[in-house]
Amino acid sequence: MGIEVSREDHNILAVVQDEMTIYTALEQREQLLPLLGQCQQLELDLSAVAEMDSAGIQLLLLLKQEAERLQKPLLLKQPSELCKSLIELLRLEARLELTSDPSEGRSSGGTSEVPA
Amino acid sequence: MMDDATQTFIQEAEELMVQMEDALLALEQSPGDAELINSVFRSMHTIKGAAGIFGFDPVVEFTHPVETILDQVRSGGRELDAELAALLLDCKDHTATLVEQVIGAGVEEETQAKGYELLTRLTGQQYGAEKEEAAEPAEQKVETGGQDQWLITLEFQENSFRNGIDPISFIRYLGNLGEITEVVTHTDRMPTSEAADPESCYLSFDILFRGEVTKQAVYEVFEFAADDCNIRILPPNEIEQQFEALVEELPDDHTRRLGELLIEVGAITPHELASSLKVQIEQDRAENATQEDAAPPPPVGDILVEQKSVSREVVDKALDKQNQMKQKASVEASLIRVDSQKLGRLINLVGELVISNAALKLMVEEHGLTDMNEVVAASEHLVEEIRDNALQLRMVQIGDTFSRFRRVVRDVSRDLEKQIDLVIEGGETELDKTVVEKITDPLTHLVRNSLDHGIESPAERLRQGKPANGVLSLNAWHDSGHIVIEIKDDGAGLDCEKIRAKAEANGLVKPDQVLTDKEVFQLIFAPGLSTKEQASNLSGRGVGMDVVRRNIDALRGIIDIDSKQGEGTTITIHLPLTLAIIDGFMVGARKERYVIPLSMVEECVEMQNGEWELNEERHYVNLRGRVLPYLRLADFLQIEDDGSRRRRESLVVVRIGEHRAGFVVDALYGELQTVIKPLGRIFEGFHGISGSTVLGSGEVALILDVQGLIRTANERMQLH
Repeated sequence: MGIEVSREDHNILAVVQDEMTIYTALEQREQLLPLLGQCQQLELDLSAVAEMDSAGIQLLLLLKQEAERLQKPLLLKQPSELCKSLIELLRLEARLELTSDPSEGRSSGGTSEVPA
Repeated sequence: MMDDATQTFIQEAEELMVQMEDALLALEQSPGDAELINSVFRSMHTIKGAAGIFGFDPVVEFTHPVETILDQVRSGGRELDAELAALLLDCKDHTATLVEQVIGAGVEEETQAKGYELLTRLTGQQYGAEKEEAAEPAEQKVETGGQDQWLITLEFQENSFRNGIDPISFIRYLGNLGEITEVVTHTDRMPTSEAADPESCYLSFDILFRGEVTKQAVYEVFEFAADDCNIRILPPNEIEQQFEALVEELPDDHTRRLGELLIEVGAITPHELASSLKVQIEQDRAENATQEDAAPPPPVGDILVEQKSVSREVVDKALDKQNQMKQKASVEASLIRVDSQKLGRLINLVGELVISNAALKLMVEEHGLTDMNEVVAASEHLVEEIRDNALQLRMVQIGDTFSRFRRVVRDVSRDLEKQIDLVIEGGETELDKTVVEKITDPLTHLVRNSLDHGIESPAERLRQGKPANGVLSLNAWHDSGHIVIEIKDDGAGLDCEKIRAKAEANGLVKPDQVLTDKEVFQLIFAPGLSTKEQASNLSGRGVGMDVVRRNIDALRGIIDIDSKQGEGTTITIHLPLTLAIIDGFMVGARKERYVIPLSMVEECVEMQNGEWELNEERHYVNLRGRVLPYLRLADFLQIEDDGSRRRRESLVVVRIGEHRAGFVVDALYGELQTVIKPLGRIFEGFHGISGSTVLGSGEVALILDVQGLIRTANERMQLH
């Protein structure tokens, strides 16, 4: 369940193994988040992720948020079927993929927006 | 035999149609008033629904298209102009006819045809036997702007993951119930990356969902997460409308809370209500903590809307319903329908109780059982209260009777091409239902007279410098044990000379007789004076004012007319509040005892003190300088002389309205609860007596017909 990290110039490729769940979330953040600071571009290979839950998705969103803050591209590559289906279920394809407008999904505002 | 349920249906239908009529008439004054339009719609809707339950198909068939039109009016699809209002009034009348016939012998063909004709005019579509099927108008669906899907908002709390809640799994499961068309994932609450705890949940979702499910079913999907998630489920518009309709149909129960109403129709789940109430309490607490003057907490409805549990429309609808219920409750104060005959029996029994209590009291006095006095006094007091309460049961407001005249005024003024406004005041004044029933006919006659002959045409009014709109006002108030009803118009007024001339021609008055204007006006109640040609400006339909007077007399009331030519006429009717049990005042003439209604007794003066003096020649009594007509009861009623005559006479001054007279009696016995028993038919023509009562001793005392006696006294008095 480790993460294989390889570097190429200023790009980092991280291959996530096995699972992205509540059980691995803390550890994976510790590993992945610092990588953003060390590179120009971070690629995450999700092809080996066989298990994923909301915490995993949230971690992806967290990384995305940080990447945006640092203005560095975060690429999700070859998501496994499961990964892909969850991302699609939550309509996060655009938001988590590099090709999309980074502001997508954030402009729709909070859930508790109330009329005055 | 009609069963109770049918009876209830008839009563409700009647009430609803009265409401509908009121609302329609009011709409003529303020067209476009949404509340009134709603009221019309509701009435029609409820009649249709009730008729459906009873299987009165003809009523349903007719009311359904009418309701459809009303719904269009309500949703702004059709304008309610004067023509449509008039048509709807006809429809209301027709519904009443249908209800009557459907319960009776069945719907007549003629009625059916009339119904088709009305519907054809109303909908613009052909209605009739052969086209019946095709004519059913397509249910008009109100345009639903945009949303036809459920909106589900999920806001997971930070501990969700740790508590084993995986939001995605719920959303995936929701997909089994229908189609998830859109998901927006929010991470607004997520702190910057360093501070964010990946084991805490910062996710919120807005989900659009399409599926044929109940709100409860949607809620159950997320129920397991309920402790860790704020769940708001907003149903599609279509379902919203169903909610609105359901809210509409809820049985009236004024004790219900808004939240309960909404749960009942399924607009919110119990969980949503609980959480909104929690918010309400918290907000209340928060506000009160920060400021001294405690602001009221925000209404639950607002919180529910804010939480997106339910749309503003449904809440408004439910609030409307709640208000309606409250209003109804405040007017009717949790009402029970009681057969009026049962009330009648109760009041009769109370009457017997009054008499037997009087007998008891008498026995105690006769046997000198002084230690029982207190017990008897207490029971007498109780009986008095029971009497008042029992009578109160039969008291109804006169307003309903007055309101009926709105339609009369409207129809008559339309027929006669006059513009007449009806002003009603004092509608809350109460009187006995039996009296109300008997006063309706005379009132109708008087109102028609005013409309027909009192108020002039708009052109004539303008010529006389009056506003084109005539005003007819109905007013009621209480006056010392009586109800006073006033019918007042600002029309032409009565022509004194014309009346007098006719009365002289008929031999009712002598040419040299001096009469005040009021006395002249009273002449129009004389039987001989109500034929067409001589009284063209005051009556004329051939229905006699003498009948009106007879009706009022039968109620032991009096009627007065005041009029100024060119300025209008005021008719005042004084009526006793009840015809059952009254407080009486007992007097004696020789050995007989008589009862005068206490409310008519103004004062009693004993002979010795020299305050009054009889003029037997000219039949008047001088009481402290005031001249009154009088009657010596013993003489007038031709009571056998037993030698006790005029030992110690007293004068009882009676008054009804402005009419006064003195009765000279031999003894004053004081107040007495009097149960009025009608006289047998044999005494009907008997002048001066209006009823009888049984005394505690078992003896019978006669109740004096005060208004008749005052009139007689007046006739006898010769001042000139």
